Amino acid sequence: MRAWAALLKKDFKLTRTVFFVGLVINLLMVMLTIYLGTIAGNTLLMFIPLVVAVVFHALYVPIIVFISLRIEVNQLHLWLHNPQPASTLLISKIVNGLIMIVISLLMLYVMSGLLVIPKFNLFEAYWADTWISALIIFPHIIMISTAIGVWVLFLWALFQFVKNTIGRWSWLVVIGAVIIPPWASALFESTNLYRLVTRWGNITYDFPTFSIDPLQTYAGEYLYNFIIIIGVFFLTAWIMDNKVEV
Amino acid sequence: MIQMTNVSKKYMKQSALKDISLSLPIGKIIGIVGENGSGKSTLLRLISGLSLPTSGSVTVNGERANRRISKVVSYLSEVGSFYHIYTVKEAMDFQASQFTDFNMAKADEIMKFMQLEPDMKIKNLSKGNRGRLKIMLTLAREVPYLLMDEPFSGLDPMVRESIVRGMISYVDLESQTLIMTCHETTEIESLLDSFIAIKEGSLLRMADVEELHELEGLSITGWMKKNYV
Repeated sequence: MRAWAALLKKDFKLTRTVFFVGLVINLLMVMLTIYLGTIAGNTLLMFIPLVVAVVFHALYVPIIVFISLRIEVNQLHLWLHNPQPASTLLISKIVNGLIMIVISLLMLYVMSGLLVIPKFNLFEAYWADTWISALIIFPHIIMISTAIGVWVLFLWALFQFVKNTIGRWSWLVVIGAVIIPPWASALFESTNLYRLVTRWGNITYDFPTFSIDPLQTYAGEYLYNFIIIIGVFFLTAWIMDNKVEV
Repeated sequence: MIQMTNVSKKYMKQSALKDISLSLPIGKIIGIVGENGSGKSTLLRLISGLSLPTSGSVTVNGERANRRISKVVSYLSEVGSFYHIYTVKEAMDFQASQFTDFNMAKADEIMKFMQLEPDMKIKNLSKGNRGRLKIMLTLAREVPYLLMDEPFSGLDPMVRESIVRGMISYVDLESQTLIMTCHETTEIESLLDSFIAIKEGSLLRMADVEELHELEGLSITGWMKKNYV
C-alpha cells in the first residue's frame, strides 16, 4: 500500500499544474456565467457555460492520463523499472484522474448552486427534475471520462509496443485501434445476443418537466461496459508488462 | 546468475546484438566495453528486462528477464534524470517506497559522499549532480545485480576518480555484481574483475582483466586498440 500511495502522490505531482489550470478555467466559466447573466438578463441561457464546462469533463480523465503518460515517456525506464505489476502503475494514473475530476466537478456544482440560488425563480417550475438530472449526470460524466481514460492508456501502450516493431506505421495501428473497436461494438450492439445479455435491470430516467421522452437504460448495459473497460485495462497492463520496451 | 543464451536483438531491421551467450556470476565488477553503437547499452537493457530479446533468452536468477526483474536488478540509465518534481530526499523516499531493498542509511551515506544536499531540487541540479543522484539511488539498493550505463558521464573529470573509487566501496562483492558500461576504460580498469567486449553487436571477448594482464601483457585499452582499430 505504501508503494501505491507513493505512486499516486507522484502522479498527482506530475499533473497538478493541469489540475490547478482546470480549476482556474472553472472559475472563468463561472465568471462568464455571471457576465452573461448581466447582459442576457434572466434567462436560462446564462447557464450554458456551466453546462458546457460539465460536459467537457468527459475529457478530463483522458487529458490527465495523457499528460501524465507524456511526462513518463521522457524517462520511461524510471516508470517501468519498478517491481509493481503494470496494473498497479496504471490504476494510480486513473485514480489520480478520478480524484481530480471529482474535485473539479464538485467545484463546478457548488459554484453553480451558488449562482442558481439568486435565480431560483428561473428553475422553480422544473427544480425537482433539474437537481435529479444534475445528480445523474455527475456519475455518468465520471464513468464516461474514466472509460475514455482507460482507452487512452490502451492506445498509448499499443503505440509504445508497435513503434519498435513497425516504426512510423505505428500511427496507423493506433488509428485502427481508435476506429475498429467502436465499429465492432456498434455491430455487436445491433445483435439479438447483445440484447439478450444486457437487457435486464430496467432503469428509467424520467424528467416530465423537461418535455422529453423518458430515457431508458439497463443495469446489464452498465455491467457490459464495465466488463469491456476492465478487459481493456488488463490487456493494457499485459502489454506493458510483456511488450513495451525502453 | 545472469544467463544470456543465443540472444539477438533487432530494432526493426537494424541488428543491435547478434547471438550473444554468456553467464555472469555474483561477486564481480564487470565492465562492458566497445565502440559507440556497438550494443553495450542494449545488453544492459536486456538484462534489466526493459528491452526484450528478438530471439534467445535472458534469465536472472533463473527467471526470465522482463521489466519486473527489477526486484533483483538495480538499473541506472544513461539517459534522463530522476523525476524533476522531487528534491533529493523525496527521490530517496520514493525509491524506498517502491523497492523494499532500498537501504535508506546507505543512501544517506552515499548522498553525503556525493556531496548532495537532501533539500536540493532535482530540476535545479547540474548535470554532474544529477549523475551523482542516479548513482546514489542505484547503489543504495541491496540487490544481487547493479547495472550502470555510463554512470560517470557528466561527472567532472577532476572528481571522477574519487567518485569511481568511492562508488565501488558501496558494492558488497559477497552478494552483489556490478556491471557497467564506460567510455573511459582506463578510469575503471583497475577496479574491474572482468570485461565483456562487444563489437558491432557481437561478443568479441569475455575475460578476466587479470588474465589479460598476465597472459597477454595488455590493458583493456591496449587490447581494444589491437582489436577494434
